[in-house]
Amino acid sequence: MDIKSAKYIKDTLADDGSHSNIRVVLNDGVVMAVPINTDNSDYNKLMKMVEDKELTIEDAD
Amino acid sequence: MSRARTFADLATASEEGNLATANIVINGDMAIWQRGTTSITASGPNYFCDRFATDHGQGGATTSQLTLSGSDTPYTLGFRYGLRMTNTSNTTATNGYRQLRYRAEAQDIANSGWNYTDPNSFITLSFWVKSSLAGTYYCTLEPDDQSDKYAYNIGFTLLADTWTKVTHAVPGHSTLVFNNDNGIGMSIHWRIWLGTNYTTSGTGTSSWYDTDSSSTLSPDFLQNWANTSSATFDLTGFQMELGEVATPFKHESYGDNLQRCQRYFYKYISNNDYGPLGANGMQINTNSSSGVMYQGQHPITMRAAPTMAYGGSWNAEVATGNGSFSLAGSVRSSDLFWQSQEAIGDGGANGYAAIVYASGDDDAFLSGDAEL
Repeated sequence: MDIKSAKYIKDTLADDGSHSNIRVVLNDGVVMAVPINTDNSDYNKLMKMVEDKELTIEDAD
Repeated sequence: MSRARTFADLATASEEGNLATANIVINGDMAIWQRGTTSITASGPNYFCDRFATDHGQGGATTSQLTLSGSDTPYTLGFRYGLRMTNTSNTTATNGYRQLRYRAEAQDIANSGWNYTDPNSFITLSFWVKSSLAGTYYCTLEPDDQSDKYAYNIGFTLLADTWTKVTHAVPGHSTLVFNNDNGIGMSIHWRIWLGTNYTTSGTGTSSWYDTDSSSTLSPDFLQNWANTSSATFDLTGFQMELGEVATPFKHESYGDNLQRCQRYFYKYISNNDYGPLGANGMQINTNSSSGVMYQGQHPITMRAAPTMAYGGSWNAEVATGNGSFSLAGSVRSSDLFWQSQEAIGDGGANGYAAIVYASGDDDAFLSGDAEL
């Protein structure tokens, strides 16, 4: 993933401060909505990048 | 092969219930390319041909779709496409590598009928392969679920520019574990070339070995594929089946193959300047603060909640106006549905229906990705 930006998105239905997904914008313009779910390999990749300090995910608004 | 030998193999396969066994591999004939066929140069691992990933480190390599023709042996057996890696920038770096990968879902192996803890029970791999460079290459099986990691290397030696069918029966081993779940069951790598950081000369082939204790992925490579300008490596016709005998490849219809692939990835492309976003209608929901809720259904039940992605220009339209669709709000996905809740430019009163369509962009797409 050639990431331009990554940001947590609040779950507006739950409205309890939880996150629904991580919005990732790639440098080629593709927009991804990555679920907060360890069964999802993209989510696991993002967490590994954060752990390795290769990525910072912006807090939700 | 003699007819007597063929009949003997078939009899053995029949006794093992092998004749009716499905190919555990999905898209082994590489007929499905939902992500497109534009060559990949990024290091990876990147999925390209459905269910197959390409990966390289140091120097450069490109992976492309290989269109087979009548002069290719696999073509005569019903294969039309293959996966080709081409070396584009040479390396001898000790941390360099060139490889292709397939990952099988754990429950597909757990339920395959392979008594994988029994050394007298087998699964058999077969695939067609060709390299521009003669030498020995390896196919490595790496089960994922046991804490003490084991691997199994299949070595195969190729003549230059000659299609070869590799077949190998892999026995069970007492340490193997495959959970009955939707996680990674086994990674199968075609090691085209690995630097010495990842190899050890004494690493065995045709037997399971403990990778934790040996810290190696394969034996040393005696060929220098990654340091050979424009070297190519081609793969197609991958099958993995229960039993000790490689049976002929189980060909599928395009539709059946596509549906199996869509458990892991699907992509809707508008293919029309004003094409629809998905196969399913989108509905407006009544939420004044967040605008419109779109909901769609995946083509089939996916392996897990997918990453939803879009590219290109999409337009959202309600009865009172229109705006952009951008996956900018809350997006939720399950294995069967996805939702996106977002505001649109002109808004819309509660209860209005909404639709989404490409905005003058016939390459616009929406995808769901639940790959392993």
